Amino acid sequence: MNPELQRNLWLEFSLHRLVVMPCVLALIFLCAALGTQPNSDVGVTTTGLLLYIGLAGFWGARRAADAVTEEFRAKTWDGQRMSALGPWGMTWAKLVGSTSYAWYGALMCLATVAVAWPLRWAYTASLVIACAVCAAVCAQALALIASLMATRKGLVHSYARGTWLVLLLLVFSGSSTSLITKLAQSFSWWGHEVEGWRFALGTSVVFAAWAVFGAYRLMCQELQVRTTPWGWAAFVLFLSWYLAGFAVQPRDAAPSAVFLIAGLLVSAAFTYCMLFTEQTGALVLRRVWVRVQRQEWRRVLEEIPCWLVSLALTAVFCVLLILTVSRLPGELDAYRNLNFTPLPLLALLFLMRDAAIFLVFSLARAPRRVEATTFLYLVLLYLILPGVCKLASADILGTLVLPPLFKRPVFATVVLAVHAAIALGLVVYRWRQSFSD
Amino acid sequence: MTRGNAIEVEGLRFDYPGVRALEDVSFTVAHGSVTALVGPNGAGKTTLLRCIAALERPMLGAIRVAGIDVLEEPRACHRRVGFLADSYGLYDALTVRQCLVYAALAHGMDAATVPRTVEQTAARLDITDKLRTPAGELSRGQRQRVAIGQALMHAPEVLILDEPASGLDPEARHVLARLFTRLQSEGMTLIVSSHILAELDEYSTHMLVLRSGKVIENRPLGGTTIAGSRVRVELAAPVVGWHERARECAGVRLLEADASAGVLVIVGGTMAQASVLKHLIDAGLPVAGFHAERENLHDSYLRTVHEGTQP
Repeated sequence: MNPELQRNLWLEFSLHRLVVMPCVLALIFLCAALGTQPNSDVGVTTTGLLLYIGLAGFWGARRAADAVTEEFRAKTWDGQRMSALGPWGMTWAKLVGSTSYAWYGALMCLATVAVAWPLRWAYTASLVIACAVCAAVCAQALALIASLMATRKGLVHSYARGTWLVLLLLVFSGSSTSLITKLAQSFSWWGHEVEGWRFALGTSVVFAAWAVFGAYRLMCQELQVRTTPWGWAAFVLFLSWYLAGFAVQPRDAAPSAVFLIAGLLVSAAFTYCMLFTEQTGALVLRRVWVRVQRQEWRRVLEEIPCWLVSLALTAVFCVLLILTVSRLPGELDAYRNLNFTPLPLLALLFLMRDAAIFLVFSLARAPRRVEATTFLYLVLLYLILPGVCKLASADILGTLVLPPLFKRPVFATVVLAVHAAIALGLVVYRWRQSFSD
Repeated sequence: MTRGNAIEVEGLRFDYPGVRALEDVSFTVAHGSVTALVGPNGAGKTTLLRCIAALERPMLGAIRVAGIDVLEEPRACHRRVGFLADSYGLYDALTVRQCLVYAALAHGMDAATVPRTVEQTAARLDITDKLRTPAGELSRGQRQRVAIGQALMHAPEVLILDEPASGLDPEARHVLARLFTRLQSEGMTLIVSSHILAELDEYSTHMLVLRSGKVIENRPLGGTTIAGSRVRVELAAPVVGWHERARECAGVRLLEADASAGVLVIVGGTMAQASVLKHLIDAGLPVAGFHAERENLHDSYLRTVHEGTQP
């Protein structure tokens, strides 16, 4: 048996706990059955599903997050990192082992739901249960990813943050459940009619697989297994393709353009997301720069942060989109009327400027609260300063802070290029200050 | 890698935000030696040990442990190295036996051999009677022995220990010193960092001094070094300036002296020492004692640091 799984089972199960869980669940189901009308299984199935969400979704995600943070707090994480267990063995053993007791209860709930569900809806019941299992696996893997990222960023002692993170994950899983419910009807995806529940099941399976894969890749980094960021790039491309499918209409003339737009938006969103969440300190960049200077290209790829990969993908999508839009067929003239061509470039310039602002603060000699400071400055640039200019009727000054993207795209491009150049200049200045040797 | 060296470090640099923890650190550690890594707080000792154990990646430099390039093959390094952090890192809810079994299996040992290895390790560390006790109920000294047991389960070639004796009582420290001496006699290479120099003195064969992220000394300990043998001279009655007579001999350096005693460093082995003794007696000095002296780690460290601060 995998030793990490065995250790988790030692910790999670005892005779007392084995007995308590079914007893408590039986009492709850008994209450639910007695509290509803005779011959009605609605109370039991609803209770079963709610208990399942609580056990596998909330408690399971919390346990998965604790699988790493508890090791870090108990100072046992270094011992695990030095063990002979591979990243895959460590990932699945942590996911299964730390959540085993939560699953013990959750599977009893699902079994009860399956039995209580009316026989004529057996097909729907099986789909709902399969989706629920995949969603829980996805939430638990995401919680493990979050805790691994927190560990890498040194945030593991902020217990409250971890709790909030799990709560956010729960909200996310709840919203995705309602999304799945909406998907009960048939709809168009990449121009094909798909059955809602089957699609939802496929989506749950695929995203659960991606979440587990993400946890595995982060575990590779923690266990010092040398990896390049192809997995991250592949996920960004997959998500772009998946989301683009909803926008493509059956007789769409240029589905590739839709994919490129989705790619631009997804990679830009992930650039911001990773910039604020992954380890992005000056030393990470310094390390990459040292490898570049020494022309150790594989090392460059191993150490490059994911936000830089996303930024590079945004640039690629930007170039491809500009080249594609100029060749769009007549049906898409509406895009041309919006003067669409500079918009990808504007998105890229915004991104470069904001990333540069982040770097200016992270390259300080003693950087503190970089994320919060950057967020404050971005709020200033996007909301407060334009608002003040508008209230003071200083429209010209306002356009220099936040240029009108759709009305005067060329002017906006010039202004944002100047913004980005100033921010990058400050980055270079800070870099020279920090690494004068 | 040079034959005879268990660890080779070259040009190591490690940065924390705003702080350079290690700067151009280069040294070697001989096979089968016990190296005391000493230095003031913040000297970079823990960072250096974590780099050697492939737990941290340095900005620049090269590290080879047991013939393995640590930066190229960190996972291979983990299989050859045992690491004990100052916090010990035990699962409090598990029994001592479970802790040792987990450590053995996690290091890839064959499940069939694990029970026997656990018994042997427990006997070696004198914790057999604690195998059924949860780790959280052990004293600090016992916890430390269990942690060492975990680090030893896969029979590493190199054992790295960061402040292993902090918080231990004198008896537990003595037990620890005996264990390290035994491990060394079995051919294991140990590198031990500590603030407690007296404790290191019991078992260290080499001293590596780190200050402000730089190596300022790396040499063998003991009475005889390349620089010569330490000899303590004691006089039956005080003689002002007696040591001037000693310094008349070739290859003699004065370390410390007062009117009735002093410590000399004599180059050239026992014949040279006999020659110096004869010279002192011929000079009419009342020599009551003349014996080789093992250098005390504490004195050695202070002298190294003192020389390091001389302009």
